[in-house]
Amino acid sequence: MPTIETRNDRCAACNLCVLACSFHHEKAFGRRGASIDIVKNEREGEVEIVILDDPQTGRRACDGCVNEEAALCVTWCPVGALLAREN
Amino acid sequence: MTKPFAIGGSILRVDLTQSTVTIEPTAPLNERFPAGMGVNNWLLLDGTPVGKEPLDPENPLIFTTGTLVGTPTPTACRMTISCKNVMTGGFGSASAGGNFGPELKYAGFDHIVVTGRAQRPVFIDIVDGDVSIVDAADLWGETTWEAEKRLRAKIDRPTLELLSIGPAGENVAASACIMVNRTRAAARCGVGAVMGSKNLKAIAVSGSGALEVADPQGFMDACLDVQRHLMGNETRKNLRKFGTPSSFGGWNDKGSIPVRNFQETQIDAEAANAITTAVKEKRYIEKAFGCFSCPVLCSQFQRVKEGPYAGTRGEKIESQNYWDFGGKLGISDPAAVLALSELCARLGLDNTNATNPIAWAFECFQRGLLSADDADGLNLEWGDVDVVLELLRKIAYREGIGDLLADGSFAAAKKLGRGSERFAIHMKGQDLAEEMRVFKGWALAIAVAERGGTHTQGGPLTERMDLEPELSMERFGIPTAFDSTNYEHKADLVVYYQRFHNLLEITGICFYATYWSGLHTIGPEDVARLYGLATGDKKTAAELMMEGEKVLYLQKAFNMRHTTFDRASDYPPERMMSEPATGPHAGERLDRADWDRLLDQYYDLRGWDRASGKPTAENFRAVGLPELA
Repeated sequence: MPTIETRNDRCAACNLCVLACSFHHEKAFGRRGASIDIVKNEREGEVEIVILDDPQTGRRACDGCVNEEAALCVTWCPVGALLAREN
Repeated sequence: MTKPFAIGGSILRVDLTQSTVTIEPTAPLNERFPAGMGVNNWLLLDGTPVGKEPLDPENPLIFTTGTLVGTPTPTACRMTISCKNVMTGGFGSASAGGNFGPELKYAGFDHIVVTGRAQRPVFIDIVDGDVSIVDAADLWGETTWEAEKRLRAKIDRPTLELLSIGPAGENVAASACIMVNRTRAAARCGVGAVMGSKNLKAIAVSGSGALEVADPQGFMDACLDVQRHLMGNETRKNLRKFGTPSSFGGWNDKGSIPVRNFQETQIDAEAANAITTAVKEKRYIEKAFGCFSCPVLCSQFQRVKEGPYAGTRGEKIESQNYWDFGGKLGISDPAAVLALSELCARLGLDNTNATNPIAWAFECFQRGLLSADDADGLNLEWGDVDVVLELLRKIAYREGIGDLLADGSFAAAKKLGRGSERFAIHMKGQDLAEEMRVFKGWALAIAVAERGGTHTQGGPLTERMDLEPELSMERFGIPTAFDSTNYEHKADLVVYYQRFHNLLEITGICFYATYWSGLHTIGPEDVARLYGLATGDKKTAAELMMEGEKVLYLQKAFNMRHTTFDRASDYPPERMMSEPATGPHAGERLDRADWDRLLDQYYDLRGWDRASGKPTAENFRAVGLPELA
């Protein structure tokens, strides 16, 4: 299963990765069904991509898009802020 | 009952006087009216009592999002807020991007209808179907930035989106906006004042739901296809690099920005250069951000690191900020424009509606109609940044001359008299954002806009594009879409863009990703494809454009019920007709006889009455709105 690496400096907080992720898990679009949170601080222009890997949060953990051709969040990100690294 | 595809599912009604919350399904109204903006307009029409002032507690303030919002449709994030217009007494609306709209749908709502007035300041807290009205006395008086910061500290939930008003809304300044995510302004029409009049400081929303679509994989593929197409487009690349200010130089080169209260239409080369150089150099830009689901990323985070405005920072500066401060008020220091824009965001002020009355006051001062004594000792000189900073603050708090300016230039001039009415530049009572003399279709759309002076209800940008006439015929069926000063066929062009803009509001797609700002982006056919895959409703592009037409009729119906607007209300400010443009189109103005013909053509296209400018009962029936006939 690949690991998703993040580059906060590139992230534009568009949440397209979140939508792609929720589609992967649920074939529907929402934020809670995704394994990614985008946390933005509008005051300082900063953003953090959080990949959830702990099912204890009640949210789905990232499974590296095991059944997809490629990790959907990586495919959908318009700025190259996400990379899939094979383990 | 299964929830229809792509929608939130419910309408939330909050009565702040009674402190009650009710929830009803959206589907019955979606069957009667275009979803989103269309239903919002109906709720406004149906819920606004006749004869009440815009700030009457009984009047509703209504929030909605688009049908495709919350899905990966590129740029579909927009929300629309509707109310009785504080400045015109007629139809009012304001739009914003950001993350609130999607989160509202994930919470299960397509609309929030707020009526009444809370006894004390409150905020509405929405956690899926669990809605509370919460005391916000501790937030009252705070700026939008501080209020959101405190709410975020207080509310601990996995996802949370906020909108709020600042001191301007609390003090019911007509120029008050509603700030979404602290960075996106729902501006115009006094929506922030209506929210303030209800003692409503903020709305918080957290949604745990998800939106299903009719054809999940087909829809995903289509969205990714459109996203890639958009990202390869040159104009979109410029938006990502520079934001919408990338167009400021072009507007000024064409001599079509408002300068010194619309006395001229082009700023001088030195001032223009100061602004365009800073934009091209990306002098203050640190990073490009996008709204929810947007790959265009036109929202640059900017920071001023040195000089008198060091420490200024913020996001989403538009070309229009440079019109408002650079043009109308004569401020050519781009760092100062950023500082003034930041102050507006904090105070919850709409740049345009706040700067117009200031520009009016400056011109009155220039002509000796206002003195420093009238203006709390301030010398109202063009380009004086400190004076503008002070006046913005005074407007937001209604202090001294700020109390006069807070109701807009039309109302201020009526109060002052002294012949100052000639210098209040407005449409239907609302302060005007746009220069109108050069581009004729642009001018027509702005003049007839139901909300009172706006280019976002049908204003074509094609007249700024240097493209071949053949493309004009191919896309619009007319030869003049790219011909700026030609009146011919411009009524057809405006009707096209009115329908298209309204269709975009129905879906929530941002104008900047579409045919509006570039002819190689999202057009009606693309919208129809995405809409069909998401909702299962396979309307053609032409049919969807007529849904946009219905939205316009709903707005018209509101104005027919609540105002005395008629043909005379569709004429531009006298200055646009009697004082010529400066710059490359020097001498250009709107000609009364040409305008008469243009209006006739515009009304004729819809079969409206030429004398009154109003639709007939048959028109309402023909468009599919028999209940309004």
